[in-house]
Amino acid sequence: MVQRLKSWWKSLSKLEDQPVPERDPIVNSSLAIPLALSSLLLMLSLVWAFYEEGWGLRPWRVYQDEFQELFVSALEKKKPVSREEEQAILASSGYQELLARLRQAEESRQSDLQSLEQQEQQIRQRLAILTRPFTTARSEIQAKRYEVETASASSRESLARQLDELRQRNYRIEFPDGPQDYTFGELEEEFNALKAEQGHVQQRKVELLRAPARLQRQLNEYVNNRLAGLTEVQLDGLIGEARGQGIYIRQIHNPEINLVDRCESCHLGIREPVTLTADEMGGRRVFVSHPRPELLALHDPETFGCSPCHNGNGVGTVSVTKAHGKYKHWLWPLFAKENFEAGCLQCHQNDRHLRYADTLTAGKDLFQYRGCMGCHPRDGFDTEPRETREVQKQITDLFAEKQAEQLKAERLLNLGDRAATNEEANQLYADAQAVTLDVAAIDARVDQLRVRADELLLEVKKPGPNLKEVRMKLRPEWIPRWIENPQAFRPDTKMPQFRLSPEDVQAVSAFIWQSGVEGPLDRQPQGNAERGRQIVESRGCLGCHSVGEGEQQHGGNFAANLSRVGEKANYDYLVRWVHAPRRRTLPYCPVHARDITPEDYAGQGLPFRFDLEYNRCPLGDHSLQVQNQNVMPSLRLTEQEARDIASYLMTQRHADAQYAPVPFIEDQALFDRGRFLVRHHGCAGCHEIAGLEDEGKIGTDLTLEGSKPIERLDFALLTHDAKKEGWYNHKGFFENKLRNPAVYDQGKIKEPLERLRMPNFHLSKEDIDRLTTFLLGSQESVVPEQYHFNPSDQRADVQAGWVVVKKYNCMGCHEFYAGQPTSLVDLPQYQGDGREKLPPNLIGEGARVNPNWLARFLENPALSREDVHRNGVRPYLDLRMPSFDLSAGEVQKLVKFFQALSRQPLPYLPVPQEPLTDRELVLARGLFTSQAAPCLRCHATGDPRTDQTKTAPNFALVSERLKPDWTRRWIVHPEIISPGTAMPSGLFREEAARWVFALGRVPGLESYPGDHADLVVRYMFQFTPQEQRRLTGR
Amino acid sequence: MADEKSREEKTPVEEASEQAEKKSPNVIVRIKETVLPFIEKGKEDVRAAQDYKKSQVWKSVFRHQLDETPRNRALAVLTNVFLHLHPAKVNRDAVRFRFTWGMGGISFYLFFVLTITGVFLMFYYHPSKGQAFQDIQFLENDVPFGGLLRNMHRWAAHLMIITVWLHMLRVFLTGSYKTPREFNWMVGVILLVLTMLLSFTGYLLPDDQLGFWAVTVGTNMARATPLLGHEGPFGPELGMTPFNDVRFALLGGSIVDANALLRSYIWHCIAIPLILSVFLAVHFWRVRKDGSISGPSPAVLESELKKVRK
Amino acid sequence: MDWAQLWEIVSLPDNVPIVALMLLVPFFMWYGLRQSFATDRMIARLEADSKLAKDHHRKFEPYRKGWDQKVHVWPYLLRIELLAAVVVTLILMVWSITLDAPLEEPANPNLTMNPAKAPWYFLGLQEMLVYFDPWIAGVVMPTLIILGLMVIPYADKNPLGNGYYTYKQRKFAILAFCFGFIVLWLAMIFIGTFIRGPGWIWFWPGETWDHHRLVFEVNRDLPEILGITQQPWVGIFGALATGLYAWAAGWVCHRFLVWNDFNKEIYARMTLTHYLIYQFFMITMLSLPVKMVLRLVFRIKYVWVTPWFNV
Repeated sequence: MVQRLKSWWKSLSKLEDQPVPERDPIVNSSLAIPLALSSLLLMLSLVWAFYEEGWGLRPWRVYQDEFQELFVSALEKKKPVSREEEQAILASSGYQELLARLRQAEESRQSDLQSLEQQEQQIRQRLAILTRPFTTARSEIQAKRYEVETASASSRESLARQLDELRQRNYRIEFPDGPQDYTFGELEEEFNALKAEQGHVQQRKVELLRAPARLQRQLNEYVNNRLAGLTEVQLDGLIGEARGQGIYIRQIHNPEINLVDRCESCHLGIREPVTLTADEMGGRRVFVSHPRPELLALHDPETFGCSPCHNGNGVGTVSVTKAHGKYKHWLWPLFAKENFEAGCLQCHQNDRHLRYADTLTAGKDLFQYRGCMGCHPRDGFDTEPRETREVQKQITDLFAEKQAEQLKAERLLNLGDRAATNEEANQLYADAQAVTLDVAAIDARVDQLRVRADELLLEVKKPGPNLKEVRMKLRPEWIPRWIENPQAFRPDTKMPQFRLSPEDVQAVSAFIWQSGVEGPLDRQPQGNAERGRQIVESRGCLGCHSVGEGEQQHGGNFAANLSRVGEKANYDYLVRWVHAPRRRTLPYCPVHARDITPEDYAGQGLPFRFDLEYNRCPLGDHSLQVQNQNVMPSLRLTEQEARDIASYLMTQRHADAQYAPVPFIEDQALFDRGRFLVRHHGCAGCHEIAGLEDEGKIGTDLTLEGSKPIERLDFALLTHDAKKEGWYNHKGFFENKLRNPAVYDQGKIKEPLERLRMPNFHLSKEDIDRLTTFLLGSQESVVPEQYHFNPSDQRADVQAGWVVVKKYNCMGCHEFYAGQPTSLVDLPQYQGDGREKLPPNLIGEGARVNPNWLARFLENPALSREDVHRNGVRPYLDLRMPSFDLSAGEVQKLVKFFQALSRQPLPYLPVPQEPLTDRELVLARGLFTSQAAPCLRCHATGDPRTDQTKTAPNFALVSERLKPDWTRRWIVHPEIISPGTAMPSGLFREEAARWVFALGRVPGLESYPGDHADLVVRYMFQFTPQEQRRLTGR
Repeated sequence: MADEKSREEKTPVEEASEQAEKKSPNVIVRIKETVLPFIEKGKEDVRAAQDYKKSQVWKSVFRHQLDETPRNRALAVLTNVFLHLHPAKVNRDAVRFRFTWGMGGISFYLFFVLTITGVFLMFYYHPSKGQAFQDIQFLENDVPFGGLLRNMHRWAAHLMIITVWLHMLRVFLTGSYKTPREFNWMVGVILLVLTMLLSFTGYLLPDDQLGFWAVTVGTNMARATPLLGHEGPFGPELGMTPFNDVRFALLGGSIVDANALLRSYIWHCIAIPLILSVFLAVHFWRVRKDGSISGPSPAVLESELKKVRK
Repeated sequence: MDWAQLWEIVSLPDNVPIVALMLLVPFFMWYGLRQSFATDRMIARLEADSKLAKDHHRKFEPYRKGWDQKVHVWPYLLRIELLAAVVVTLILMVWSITLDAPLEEPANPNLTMNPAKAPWYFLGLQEMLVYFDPWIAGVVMPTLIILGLMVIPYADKNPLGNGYYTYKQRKFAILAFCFGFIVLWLAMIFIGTFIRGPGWIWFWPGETWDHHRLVFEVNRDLPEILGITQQPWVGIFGALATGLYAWAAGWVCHRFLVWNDFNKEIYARMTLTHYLIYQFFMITMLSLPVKMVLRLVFRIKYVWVTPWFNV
């Protein structure tokens, strides 16, 4: 062996010493073996290639095989169930009755049918015999005729004769009942006659069968309408189909959006008309049917495909990884399960609230409520400041234009004066005239913009409180504590934790404190804490705020938890705040970019007064910001109530809480440093801060963050780990960033000011998923404009409305769609009979109320200027509809929103009520006041003496508040409109196509021919003050 | 006139039956007469098939016998259009792989493979932005053996460059470029360049990041062409701008875009292959004329070298 | 040592050919030289023994009287060609089945790849960009390489070693060629593929290609180092320096030309044109390694700086 190797190596190195063989190696050696071998291998490689082509690269084939079996067996399992169901239905009386009628109909027609069929039979026989000879003859004659027509004069004669002969020739037809002779003419007649008769008979047959056919249809519908799933027959149909299915790529192709999706080549169950769970399909999740068929119903897959919503590579079929786009070079990888709603944003950018997409909507909520939008620009969020700037710009532009126009007008006039001829002069004057008219038009436009600008002053809100008032509002010791770590003080606060050194904390606190304004703050006597507590629990504070800590915490999470207010707040200010949350100490002037002081007013000889009416700047003709920019509304409390609440809140504190004195807070030296830091960290994004009112947003624009090239997302030193650990993608970037905003500074040596600024929001896993979903979805849409959901009809009003609803957290108290959670429903005090105390649900509000009234109500829920400490509509409720000081624009949006939700037309033109005759009036009043009718037991009548006890809305309001048609439906069928309402059903019963009063007798009413419900409605809609006095005067 | 009448009275059916009656008696005989000779001819065919080598078809295709005689072996090469690139006989040691490495032949074979796969690829490819990328996608996912086809084309291209280089290395090591083969070496160098250009122009066609940036980098060098590039020495002085310099000419634009795609497509699929084939022909022709596969020729001794007098 | 990174680079579909090349070239060098040395030993023997030289068949391949000098193409050559074709096809099939041709993101002019690399067979040129301005690396050099290759048959006046492997008889030619082909061309490709990472920074094999890596490099011009700062002196100095190099390199190449008697023999056969062509291409070729050293070791960017071009 060793020798062998040696000699081999020798031959390798010393070629020339190889022994010379006897026979010529070139001529005598053979390549057969290597050739055979390599050819064989080549063959094998071919086989391999075929395998790859057939299966290796076509996994869907395997899937489809597998699916067929699983699917069939799953259906087989379903059959017995649906059989039972079906049996039950077939047994039902309704079905049997229909069936009987069908049978009966069929039998009654039996005999006629038979006779008809016999006739038809005979006709068919005769035709069968007749047709052939007839058509032969006909074609012969036609041919001959053509010859004649085209023949030359000479031969025409004879041909014509031949034609006649053909016409006259005798045709003998052998009918079963003996032969018959015809000329061609007769033959033709006979033929047509038979045809006609045949048609006639068939016609009669159809008529005869019409009724049974209709019954049969009804029968099928009867079953289908009552069957939950599919009938056994249908299931069998499916099974047959499945068995018959070939193996091929299932493809959706929509050239309009350049879409090719083969997803269904493996996900075969997605669109099956039966629900397939993973268990039914042998645990293979790939085969389940779409979990949200209702979504598919809205978005027809044939048009939208799969990948526009779910991402992934729709074309890919060679492997699961490729198809799901989960590889380095595919830009749109499949959305993970927890983020799949991101796809909705492709088309639903403008839906602030999106049905079926709770995660996404929650993500948007977080983005707004947690103040992300304070630093990050994002289309559709915090739009007011931008709009304000735009409006201002337009106004200034228009002013410039106006002046130019005026000059032009003057110039034209001068020219006119100096014109040579009269015509010229008149022409010029006319032009001047036109220009001045333009100027007027501009004025009109400017006025409109001014109005809008004022509205915007009301609409613009900040996620955080106004820091100008800290001096009056807070205890200085508390501030640094809070800034250092808000969550330590209040775990679920929206205020994030910034990464500040102790010195920085001091500087920031000092700046905040020193930049605060001083103002008159009257000393407030103590209130009754216990009563305060009751008010907080009952008046509706809990719609947004929560009280209690840990287990005890209850209420809404929209606004702050109040459990430790006592440690931070100043009582006197707190009273003022609770009483009038929007009240400012000094008005702010956007034009002069500073707070306007009493001196400024005095300087102009004006009283120091500012509110929604007195909102012009004393230093110039423009509007002031006269409110705090927080959404907290006024509950229209009395001073005393406010004191009680404040006193209660002051008791909300940790007894053991210690606060070190903060001498530095007055240190002037820290001011500039603090100011710099506050600007650097963008505090002004969420808070109003003196001198920083016009700060821009410091964060990156997130509108298209989801489609940023991955290379542009800075994973910094984590890049390599990210790649190794497989989170080098958008999802991974967002999640890590949200979990720990400083994460991408890890290991980097940076100056404090260079470090990433995003503060830590201490988000829960769920919240991170929600925000990630929202960010992932924020992409350049792959589908063209016309696919985006930007409706031009009422649905646009819905979109606009949701923005306002979300802004003021109306959903904290009210139910807008069935099953929507509110902050209140789960509170103990609203269980059982407590339900009655809940605020009205607003499902169908648009159909219920008169939009014009609704607008008035939203402007002032008290519906009165004097007596404000109450609910306008439901004085009996402890909960109080607050005054939000909505802008006219927002009121408009809300009104339209409600009308659109219940598909009500705008503007609303009420149907005139036909006036009550005296008799009717008497009857109605009788019915209304009769002991039998319970109306006045609950409904208020606007009589202070009796109304305390009442628990239902005031009649006096009906005519202006409600819509008559709705009211009628309501009194007849309240339980349909609002399930579980206290309004009793069955007040009326149907009788001969009219509703009559059902509870006991009312004198004279029986004799009244009209509809009682109508009567009551008309009475209520013509309810006059005198009438009211008459009712209550008893 | 008369029989016209008679026809009139008879229906077509009757007439037909009459005809039949006329013929019927001697039908069998007639059939025999017609069929038998054919059977005879058939037998001839069978006989011919038994020694097919004498048949006209066979002779027309194969001009000589196949039995192992020197003559036939020579004819096998000489009478074959594809093989006659070779001489009838070659140097005995030239058939050793270790001498030639077979790289020239392999390069040509790869060129052949590339042509075939390339043609198939052309069926599925549109040289237009966006569409191009999709076509590759469809090639991978839909077209039967599409993936294999594309892979083969790409890998064959890379392999060809390697073999061409190795071929050059071998030719140098055996000094086969020396008299009388100097010119053929030049042709070889041109072929080498063309090969690389072929591969380069193909790089852009999938229209993906890889090709796009490779070509961008590649063509950016052209900016700096002396005199002809807008960033090259004396280029600006001669009025070269990004919109009229040599790079613009290459890309049909100032950036790599639709036009560049189309141009590289045409260069890749038509122009360069044609040019290359021409030079290939010359190359082979020269190989053949210069005594086919070179050497190994007998070594010459230094002592045998004639001194040049000065 | 970051094996993952190394594997990522090596296994990149388009780098596989280079890996293959890195194995094939050494093998074939050995394969060829081995035959050269065999011939050389044979020649030595023949030189020693003139009688043997008379009737020797002058090849190291085994040979007996009576074996035919020429063999039929059919079948002896064609069978090998067939075998080669089959084997190559087999290789291609397996390669194509197991390895997919790359297809990356759709072309996006706004998103630069980092590193953006030319096809591997041009990486030599791209690497040259580090040492020369584009107009040299990208245009002049390639042209010269092509021309250089073309003139080889004419510049090489050595009549020996025509059509057989030999080293002794063509030492210089072979050394020069291998230097050009392997050291300059292939090595540059290797560097461009495996060494140059993001930002075209030098990463040793197995180093992580970190996109954020920053390296401190000041590359200064030679005149600057020597304190010559203003034109025209800079230009003039450059011209002189370059000239100096040319002279030195030329001298070295000349030494090779007259290394020993045999070389002198060949030298004698050269005309002036031959000589100049030879010098021109040798000097240019040598300029690359020289410039590489200047750049990589001494961090010198340019030697010759003029308002129009820099070298």
